[in-house]
Amino acid sequence: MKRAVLIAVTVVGAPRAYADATINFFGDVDYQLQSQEKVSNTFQASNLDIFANETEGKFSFIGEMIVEAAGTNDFGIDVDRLEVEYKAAPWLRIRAGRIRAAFGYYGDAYQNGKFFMVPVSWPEMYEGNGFDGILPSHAIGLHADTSYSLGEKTGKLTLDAEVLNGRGKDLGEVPAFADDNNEKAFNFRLRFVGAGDLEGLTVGANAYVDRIPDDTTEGAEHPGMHETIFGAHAAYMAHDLHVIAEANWFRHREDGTQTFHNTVAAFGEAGMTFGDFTPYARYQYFWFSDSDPYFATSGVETGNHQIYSVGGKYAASASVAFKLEAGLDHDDTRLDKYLTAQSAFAF
Amino acid sequence: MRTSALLLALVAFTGSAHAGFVVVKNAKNPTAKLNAEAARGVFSGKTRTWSNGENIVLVIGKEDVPAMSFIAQTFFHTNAKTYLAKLKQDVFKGDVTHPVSADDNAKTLDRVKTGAGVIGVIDDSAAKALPAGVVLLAVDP
Repeated sequence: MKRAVLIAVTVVGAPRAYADATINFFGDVDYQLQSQEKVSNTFQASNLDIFANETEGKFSFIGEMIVEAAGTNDFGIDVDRLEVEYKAAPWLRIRAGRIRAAFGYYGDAYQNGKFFMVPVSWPEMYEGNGFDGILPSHAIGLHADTSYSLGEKTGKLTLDAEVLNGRGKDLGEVPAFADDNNEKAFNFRLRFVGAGDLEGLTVGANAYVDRIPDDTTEGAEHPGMHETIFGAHAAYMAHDLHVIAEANWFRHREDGTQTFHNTVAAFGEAGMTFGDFTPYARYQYFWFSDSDPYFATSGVETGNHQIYSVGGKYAASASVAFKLEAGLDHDDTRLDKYLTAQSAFAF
Repeated sequence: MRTSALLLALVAFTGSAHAGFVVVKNAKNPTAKLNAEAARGVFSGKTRTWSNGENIVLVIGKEDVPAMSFIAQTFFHTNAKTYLAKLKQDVFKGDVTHPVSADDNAKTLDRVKTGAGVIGVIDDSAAKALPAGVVLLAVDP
C-alpha cells in the first residue's frame, strides 16, 4: 500500500519507536452512455475517497472523507466514516461514530471502494449513480459485534447489534450533529460465516426498527413514520466464484392516519473469475405498494421497476481495475439503457 | 542444533527461479512456530493478535516484490495481485490492521525491528545475518 504520509513521533512511555499514519486514495473515472438523458454521453470523475486508519493496542481509528459531486457538478465534502473501535475481547468489538451500518452483505463489505466491487457500482438499494439508496446504510451511533465458533471446519455465528440516530428527514440526511427525534434506531444482524469446506459462504438476516421524523419543508412534506425492515442475504466468494443475493422488506406506518406503505427491494449478482477477468451479471427488483411519501419526497422513483445488467471486470493490478457494464432499467412504461466504462483505483 | 530445530523457517518457493524465503518476526514475539492454518490467519489479517495480545502488523510490499508472490502462492494459492487487493479490501472494511510497507529485505527487517507484533518475509539469503531484534519464525508447511 502506498505510504503517503509517514510521521515519526515520540510518545513518552510508548513501546513503539514511531506511529504510522497512512492515507489511501480510492476513486473511479467513468464514461457513460445513457438513453434516457438529454445528454446521452458523458465522462465522469466525480469522487475521491480519502481513507486513513491506525491501530494502537485495543483501539483503532478510521477516518474516511469523500470529495464528491453526487448528482451535480459541484463538489462537496462528506465524512463517510469516523469510527473509533475498541476490541474489548477476542470475541467482542465495539465501534462508535459514523459507520457503515451492518446491513446485508454489500453494506459493509465494499464500503465506498468501487475498485473492490465486481460491478461498476452498488446495487441501487444501497446507492445509485448520484442519488441515495433506500437502505439506511450510513449511520451514526454505537456498534458491537461478537462471534461464536461452530468449529474450525464449520465456521462461526456472528451477531452485530447497533443503536443509531437512524433516519433523517430525507434519505440524503444522516443526522451527524443532532438527531431529529429522541427515538433511536436498532439494527441487528445474525450471520453464519463458513469455514473449511464452507469457506467463502455467508448467510445472514437483518432486523431494523426506527422512527422517521416528519418533514414540514414546503414541497417535501411527509408525516413521521414507524419503520421496520427485515432483510436476508447470502454470498459465496470462493473457488473464483462471486455470488451475492439480498432481499429486503420495508414497512412504513404513518403517524396519525396509520397508513401502511410496503416496499420490497432485492438483487442477485453472479460472476466467475478467469485469470484477471471476471464476467458478471446482476438483476435488481423493486416493488412499491404505493408511492411511499418518505421515499417519494427524497426523490426515489417509487414505481415498480427492474434492472438487468451484464459486464466484465479486468484486474489490471492490485490497485487498478477496468470495467465495462451494460444495463436495462425498465417498468411498464419505459425502457432505459446505459453503458458504463470505468477505471477504478485504490492506492 | 537448537536453532535449526526451533527456527527453521525455510520454505522452498517452488515453481519459480527465486530463492527460498523465510518468515521473520520481532524478537519480543514469543510465538515459536506457526502451522499452515495459523500462517494463513496471520497473513490474511483475519488473526489480529498474537497469543500475548500484541497486535499483528504485516510488512507488505508492492505487487512485484517476490516475497508477496511467495506469501500469495504458499498460503493462499493465488497471485500477489489478488492477495494484495483482498488484503486492501479488508483493511478498508476495518477488519484488518493496516500493514506497514517495505519493498526489500533491508526495509522489511527495519520494519520488523520497530514493533513486537510486526512480521515479514525476506529472502533466505538475507536471513544469514539477521540484525539484533529480528529472529526467524518457523512455519510448518
